[in-house]
Amino acid sequence: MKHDGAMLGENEPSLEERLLVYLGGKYDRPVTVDNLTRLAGGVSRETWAFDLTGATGGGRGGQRHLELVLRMDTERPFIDSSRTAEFELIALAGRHGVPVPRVLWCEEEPAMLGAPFLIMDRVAGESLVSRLHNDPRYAHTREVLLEQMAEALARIHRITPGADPEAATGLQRLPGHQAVVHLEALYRECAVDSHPVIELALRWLHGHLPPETPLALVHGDFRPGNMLFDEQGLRAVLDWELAYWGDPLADVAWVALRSWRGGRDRQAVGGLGSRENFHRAYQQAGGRTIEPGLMRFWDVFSLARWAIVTVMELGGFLAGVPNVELASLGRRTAEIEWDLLSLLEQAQP
Amino acid sequence: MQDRPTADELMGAIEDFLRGDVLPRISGRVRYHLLVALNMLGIVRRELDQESLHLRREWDGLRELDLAGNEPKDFPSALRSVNERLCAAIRTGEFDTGARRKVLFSHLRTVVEDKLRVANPAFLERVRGPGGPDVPS
Repeated sequence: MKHDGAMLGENEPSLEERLLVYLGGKYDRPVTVDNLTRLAGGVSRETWAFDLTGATGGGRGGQRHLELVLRMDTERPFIDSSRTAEFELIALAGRHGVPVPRVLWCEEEPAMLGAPFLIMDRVAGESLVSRLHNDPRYAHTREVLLEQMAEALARIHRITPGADPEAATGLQRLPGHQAVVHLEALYRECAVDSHPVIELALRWLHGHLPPETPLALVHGDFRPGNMLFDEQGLRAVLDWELAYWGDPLADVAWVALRSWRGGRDRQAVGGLGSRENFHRAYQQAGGRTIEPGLMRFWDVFSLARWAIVTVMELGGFLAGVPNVELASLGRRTAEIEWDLLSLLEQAQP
Repeated sequence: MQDRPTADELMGAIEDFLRGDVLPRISGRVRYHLLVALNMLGIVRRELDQESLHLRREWDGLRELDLAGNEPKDFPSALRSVNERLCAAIRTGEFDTGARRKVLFSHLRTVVEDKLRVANPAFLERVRGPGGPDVPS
């Protein structure tokens, strides 16, 4: 069977064959892999679904059947996240009551499947925002998801660097001012052309740094497209590769960016509800205190960061990553610049 | 001078074919990527149609900021270097306050609008309407 896995050459074993070898080694006996299918979406990763069947080793000849997801890095410039760190992080979040998939194995050695990867349980549900907004069977989900997301985020933000001796150690520590320095360095490294609006935003951020707050786990890409949901509501928080120790208000601002609203602009948070409702639910669930005066900084920061991500993806495309979705992202920067201008125009210079 | 169909007409034919004949026959990831590709084709068509107007308008804006002079022969490369100078000036604080900051904002608004006229006219229409600006208190 042949798959279009980008990292495997013509005459090399297929992804399925490699998976069989890897998983056979994990169980120390033969296993079967069925229904290996590449899932849609994911600019930075290849995501595959598959079913694993193997002997349980219980001595009664029982079969073990697992429905799993394989997430594999596609090669990209500018991003170096470690699968081991992500593995530990998801497990950590799970221990603190954040809904996440159970993670089973991770492997940094690219020779194994063609790239570093992570294998986890396949949680039933989906994450397609257009369906969340429009499909009648998600009517209930639309009512409860905003609050459930706020609760999950509050749980994430109660995780602190010292709280758990097993806490993922590889994560960067980026308090407010460091976050700006880091963002600017990333921008300088990846920008192909000049972007005056991004320059204005970076300049403004340097001049309006927030007071230091105790560090907490910041998800880094908390938005409806990274929530797995079903008819009952939130099932799992996905995509932890951008997480860091930082100021939690970064997530609170990020979740309200216009780009996640699917055109439902009046519902600032993911097209689901207002900022005020989200903030209330988040604080009731034990999240950080949100002082209105401090949100402005994180609103500008989030827009600048998202704009810089699109610039970075453009860099990846120009460096030769073959992905039509990646190619289109460079032309989305202007949408973000539009909102940045409005915000900066109103803010104190 | 090339014969008809024009470049735009050729792209229109490609778009009709992809949307009418190919799209209904595919699903999943490939279908999603075809939708992305069709959107990009629209961007190319609008860009070829409006590019010269937008380049000139951006140049005029930079001239008002005393950063650009007479119209260059090669707009894209001249704009690239003037915009680099603009960014350097922003970094050193030249636009932190005062009347020039206002002029800069109005210039950048025009430039971003023109980019959106090409990249996503529906977005532009939406955000210029009532309740468009997203400025949380």
